[in-house]
Amino acid sequence: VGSERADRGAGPAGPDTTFDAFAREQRQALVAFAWTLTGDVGVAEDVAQDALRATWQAWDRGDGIRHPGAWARQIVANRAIDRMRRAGRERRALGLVGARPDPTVDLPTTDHEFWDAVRALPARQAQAIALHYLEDRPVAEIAEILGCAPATVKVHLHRGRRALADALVPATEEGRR
Amino acid sequence: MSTTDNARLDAIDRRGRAAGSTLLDDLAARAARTLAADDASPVPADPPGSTEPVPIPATEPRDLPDPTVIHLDRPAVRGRARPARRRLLAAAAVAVLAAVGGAVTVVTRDDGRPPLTSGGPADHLLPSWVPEGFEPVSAFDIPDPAAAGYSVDIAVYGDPDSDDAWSATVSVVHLVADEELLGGRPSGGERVTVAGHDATLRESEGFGGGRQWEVEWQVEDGLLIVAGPLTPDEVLAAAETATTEPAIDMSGLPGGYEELARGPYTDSLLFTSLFEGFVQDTTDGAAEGSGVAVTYADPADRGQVRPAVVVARRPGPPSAVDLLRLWFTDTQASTVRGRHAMIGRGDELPGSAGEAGVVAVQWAEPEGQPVSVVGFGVAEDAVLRVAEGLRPAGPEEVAGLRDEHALLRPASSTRCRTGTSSWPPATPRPGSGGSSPTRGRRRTSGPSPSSTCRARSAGPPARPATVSSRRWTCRPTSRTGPS
Repeated sequence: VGSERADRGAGPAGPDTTFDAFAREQRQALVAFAWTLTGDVGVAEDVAQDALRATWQAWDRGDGIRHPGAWARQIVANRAIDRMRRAGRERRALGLVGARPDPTVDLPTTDHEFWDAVRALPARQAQAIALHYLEDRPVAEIAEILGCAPATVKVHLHRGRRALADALVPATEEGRR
Repeated sequence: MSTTDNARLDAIDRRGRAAGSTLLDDLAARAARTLAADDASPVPADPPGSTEPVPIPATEPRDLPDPTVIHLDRPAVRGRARPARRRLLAAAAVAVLAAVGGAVTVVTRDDGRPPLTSGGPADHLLPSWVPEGFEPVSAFDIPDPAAAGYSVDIAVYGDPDSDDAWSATVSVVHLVADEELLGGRPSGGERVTVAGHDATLRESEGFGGGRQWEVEWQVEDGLLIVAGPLTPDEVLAAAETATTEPAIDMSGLPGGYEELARGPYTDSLLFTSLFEGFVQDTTDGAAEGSGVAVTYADPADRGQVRPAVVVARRPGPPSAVDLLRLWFTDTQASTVRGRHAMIGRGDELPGSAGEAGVVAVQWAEPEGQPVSVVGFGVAEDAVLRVAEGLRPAGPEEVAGLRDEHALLRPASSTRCRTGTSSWPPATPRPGSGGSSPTRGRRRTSGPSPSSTCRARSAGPPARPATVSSRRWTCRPTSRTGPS
């Protein structure tokens, strides 16, 4: 599974790759990545769409993007933060005027507790963790996507995993493992 | 690292990978359901006068519009909203529209107090000083939610003699919207009766993040919601005396409570958001007279994370000034331009302005029109200096700003559903001799598109000059990476 995931679009686009093919291949993964950061399918679809749109513009502009998949994920990472900040304000309004979505309706088998814990991490840790578990990306690719050094990614992953373990792995489980 | 630590990390790794797999599976299943639903749903009939079908061009990037022009049309309408999300979408739309525009519903009152909405179009205020390097970068008419069929008004009650009157407020919200938007009765909560109406009582997150109880019920023209961090019985007692004014009779409130503020349920920060997507989502329905927001920033930063100052003025009562407290936990009463003002500070940014936080100051001019100056990533003293230095600006100057720095007002709206995502207009750029902008939708997770899209006319724009400049130009040379 890991290698299959890693093959999904992080590498350079081939000379004959059309944007349409790229978008078809990438959209679902971008939505998934956006969802891990936002927790809202509608927002995730919008963020993924924004990322594809921006990538398409850069693609057609001939900016020479070596790794459009990484480029698109970087956009998702940045815009997901923006959208959640905005959504935070909207949620405060919705606290008075409306109901909240039930995430299990959209994604019935997803481990929402786990991803909720990921979203509770600092932003960069959450992004690194999401790319690590969702797409099984190596540290170097995560570093490229997040625009930081591989060593920094390792720190994010280590701290994030420890925080998740503290939050999710009961103390009694230690003895069983 | 101890063996125990390793075991815990191994456990979390296993769970994380499993969580990734199930998420991808769920999303794939969801996409399949959405596509099936889309295929089963007929495309709505075109309105009279619509044009002939316009084929979506091939999907090669070279066939798409000039990529140096970012078209800021509203995103195409996604497939029919699923019932589970409908209510949320409706509530979000109401909240956002109320936030950006401020309701202008004129409420008839029988107690001699002025209507909630006061004042008509007035001279705008523009800065006589802005931080160095700042220039106007956007100007737009604030959308009028009433024009779109919504209004949300709020009245807030608290004990003015307590240390912080806003620490335990009771609010009544009157949300006017049609039944389709409201989406029916909320799921969950406890069914109760309020003043003879079926109502729903539930616990929710209140302003500032604390817990509160809220009860809502349908009224003739929408919803009434009463909420506060009190006991359920106290909230129900307040609700029994609530009216659509909106108001709560003192007999229904805890002792010592008085009205603290009332006005449109408006979050000044939302309409001053720097999000392109947000602005394009909400400027549809803008109308002259509903207020103007002008953003000042360093134009070299366009499209990038940037500090900015936004000056906005819109209709509303003076009592709406203190409603700024609903949106900030760190607030302070002050005086700006010799008038009562409220300052709010926060680091929860509605825009990508870095980590320097947001400072908002709000007051009402003598005409009763609330003015907001919001700084994103700008020091508080600079925000206050902008506020104190505002000068009257005539309609011609404001119109000039709108025309020169307009943001998106869709000239036409088109819908074409062939899949699950929306795409930029697939026609020649404005001014290149092509047809008017159209919008298409195409699949990105299914077969290549082969269907057609019918261009629709949404009627004449209110101000053609604004429409004609509805685009921003990319500056690729300034980009160091995606934003």
